[in-house]
Order: sequence, then structure tokens, then C-alpha cells
Amino acid sequence: MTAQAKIRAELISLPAGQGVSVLEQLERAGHQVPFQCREGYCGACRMELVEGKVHYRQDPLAWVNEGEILACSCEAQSEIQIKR
Amino acid sequence: MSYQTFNQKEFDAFSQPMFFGETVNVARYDRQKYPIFEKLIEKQLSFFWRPEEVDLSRDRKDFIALPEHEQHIFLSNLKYQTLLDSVQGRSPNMALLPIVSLPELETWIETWAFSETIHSRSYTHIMRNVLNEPGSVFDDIVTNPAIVQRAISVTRYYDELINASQHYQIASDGFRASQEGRDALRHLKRLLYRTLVSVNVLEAIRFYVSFACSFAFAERSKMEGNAKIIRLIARDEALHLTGTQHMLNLMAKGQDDPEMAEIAREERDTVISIFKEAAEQEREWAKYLFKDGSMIGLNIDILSQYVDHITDQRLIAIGFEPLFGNKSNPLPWMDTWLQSDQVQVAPQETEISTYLVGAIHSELDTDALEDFEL
Repeated sequence: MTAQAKIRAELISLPAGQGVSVLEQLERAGHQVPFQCREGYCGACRMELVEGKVHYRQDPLAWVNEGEILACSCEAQSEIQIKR
Repeated sequence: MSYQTFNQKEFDAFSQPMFFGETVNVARYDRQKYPIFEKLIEKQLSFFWRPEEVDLSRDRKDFIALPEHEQHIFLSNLKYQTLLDSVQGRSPNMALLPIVSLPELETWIETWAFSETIHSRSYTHIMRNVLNEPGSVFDDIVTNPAIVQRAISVTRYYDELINASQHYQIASDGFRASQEGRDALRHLKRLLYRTLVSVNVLEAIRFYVSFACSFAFAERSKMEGNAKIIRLIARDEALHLTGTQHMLNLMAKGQDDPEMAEIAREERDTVISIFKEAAEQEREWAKYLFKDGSMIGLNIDILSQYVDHITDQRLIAIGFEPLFGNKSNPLPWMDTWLQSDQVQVAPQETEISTYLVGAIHSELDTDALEDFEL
């Protein structure tokens, strides 16, 4: 079995988005979040949703696993907690 | 029975797996098993671009003024990308079309490969503009050991799949029904899974070292026309990698073809070794690029860290643990170059010379208004 690295995940709480995407909220709060297309097709800003609900303005094209969100394409409906 | 271009059987097109079911007959999209592939097609079509739209006259001057070791970096990356897109412009069609079973996926594969041919044409456009004699650069692609070594890893899985699937196609119905035939099919599925992983690595990791160099030149306002083309290519590649990630994840989930999920589980170590090998090769490539000197903003170390970083990102995307644990992006400025809403091809925003010539001749001074009366 190959030895694999573990990435220390960081828990972040965000308030409801009110028209702002999760990615923008994170950036405004000073977090460095990976991004590329900002349109939901590349998947670079995929992250784990620990608590809360998000709403997608449009279904993203990128693959999103259960329990994950695509930060550029969704908005926090209430307070959310994410892991990245 | 060999491949039929129009399968005469009546079957439920909706219940077929992605691959190795019935071959597609009617190219119909009224109902889709996986609408995502139709959406990818639409997105890819909305991305359509032509290399000639990008003016490269300034790049020629920039290139001549580059020090020799930077010219080496620039041309080597172009050669490598030319190799990668030569492969990607034909191999998805050659390897996947004979075995695909869903119309929307079949059309996605064709749309995907077609966009790669635009990339190939753009490299010729760049070389014609930058060099007096581009022929020797193209000729070097098949003889340069640093490129040839990559060509072998990039094409190996494709060729194994194509070879085995051609044999299977001409096998008799009796053979296919036998245990040996069922084993052969399972082996084919394994080769398909490996091929898709290797394609994912090609489009999601291998291209990015070259992208980084192109954008590093443009950060210094050098070779900006080239960077504009590379941005368009990077936008397409991000979409393609999403396509293969969907295929791989759908396979691993097992709802599409339960045997594929078993294979995905059995192949986990192979996947890791394919990613590892690619990351190692790309680090080697960085050494080759910078053998005579680094370029401003990039060196072997930082580019190697970037390779580790994106390798981890791509592994996570298909449900694997990261290999290197390099979480932060060592080249954060890359993200801005890769951002698609920054890609602008409207004539007034680019250096299309005919448009600019018009703008230059539109200058007006007060003398021109001398006889003007209200």
C-alpha cells in the first residue's frame, strides 16, 4: 500500500450567503481558496459541507460527491460549516 | 461480430451501460441516461474558438528578444503540448467510439476530440508566427528523447485498450459466450478504466507545467498572444477533465456497470501509480525545461511543488487520498489566468490587428473641427 499524505482540514463557519456565493464569502473573509473557472465546470473549488444547506443557482457541470459542495456555484441558505 | 456502424438490433438505449453494451445506433438525445454529457457538449460548443482570432505579431518580437534558455522553455513546452493534443485529437475516437453504448456519451467523445484538433491547429498558428522555419520544431517531437519518453507513457494505455478491443471485436459469438470470452471482456473493462485514468492525468496534470510557463511569460508581458491561446486551451481542458472525472466516478459507483465498480476497487493501486509516475515525469520535465537556466517567477522547485499540488487535487476529485499533502497552491497567480470569465475574445479586447488599425486612424484633433458650425 502506498504511503499517502494526510491534509489537515480546516473547519470554517459562514453566515447565510444573501446573494453571495460561498467562494466569494470565503475570499472576502481572506481565505485562499483554489478556483479556476468560477462557473461550475472545473471542480477546483469543491469542498466538504459539514453542516447547513446550500442552494445552487444552476446545476454545476463538475462532479460533486455527496456531502460536497462546489463553492463557486452555490449560496449558503443558513449558517454553514465547511471543511477545506 | 465486428463493429456495426448502425446496430440493427432493437434494444432499450436507456438501459445500456456507458461502455461495452450495445453499440449505438440512432444518435438521439430526446432521452438521456446521463444528461451531464449533453451539458458538457453544449458547454464545449459555447467555448468554440479559432486560433486565427488571436494576433501573434508581438509574440514574434518578444520571442526574438528572449534569452536562449527561455526560447528553449517556450519551444519545448509547445512541442510537448503538440504531442499531447496529437494524441488527444484522435485517441478518444479510436479507443472509445467502438465501445461506447450511449448516444450522448458518444457525441461528447467526438465533441471533446474535435476541440483538441483546434488546439493542434493553434500550435501551428503559434509556430508559424514566432519562427521563420517551424518545420524543425515539429520534426524534433518524434526524436527528442525528453518528449519521446512522455509519448510512451501517454499512449501506452490507449494502445493496449485499442489492441485488445480490436481482437475482441473480431472474436466469434461463441468465444464471447465462453468463460474465456467473459474474462477477455473483463480485461477490456480494466484496460478502459486505466485508459481513462491515464487520460485524466494527461489533461489534468501533464498540461499544467506548460500552462504555468506560458502564464509566467505573460505575467512579464511577454508572449501574450500565446498566453491568450493557452488560456482558451486551458478552459477546454478543464471541461475535458470534468468529463473523464464523471466517467471514472460513475464507473466507481457501480450503478452503471457493477463489474466496473469491482475493477475500480481492484485498480486503486494502479491508479495511484499512474498519478505518481506522471507527477515524477512532470518534475523531470521541469528539470529539462530549466536545464540551462530558470525563468523569472518559476524554477524547478516551485514548479515541482505545483505538480504535487495539482496531482493531489486531481486524486481527491476521483475519490482518492492525496499523495503529497501539499495543500496550498505555490503558484496562486495561476488561478487568475485559468479563470474563464477572464477569457475575452471580443475584438475590442484583443489585439486583432485590423480592429486596432481602425482605432489608430480614428484620431481626431481640433483642426479637423475648424470649419464646423452650429
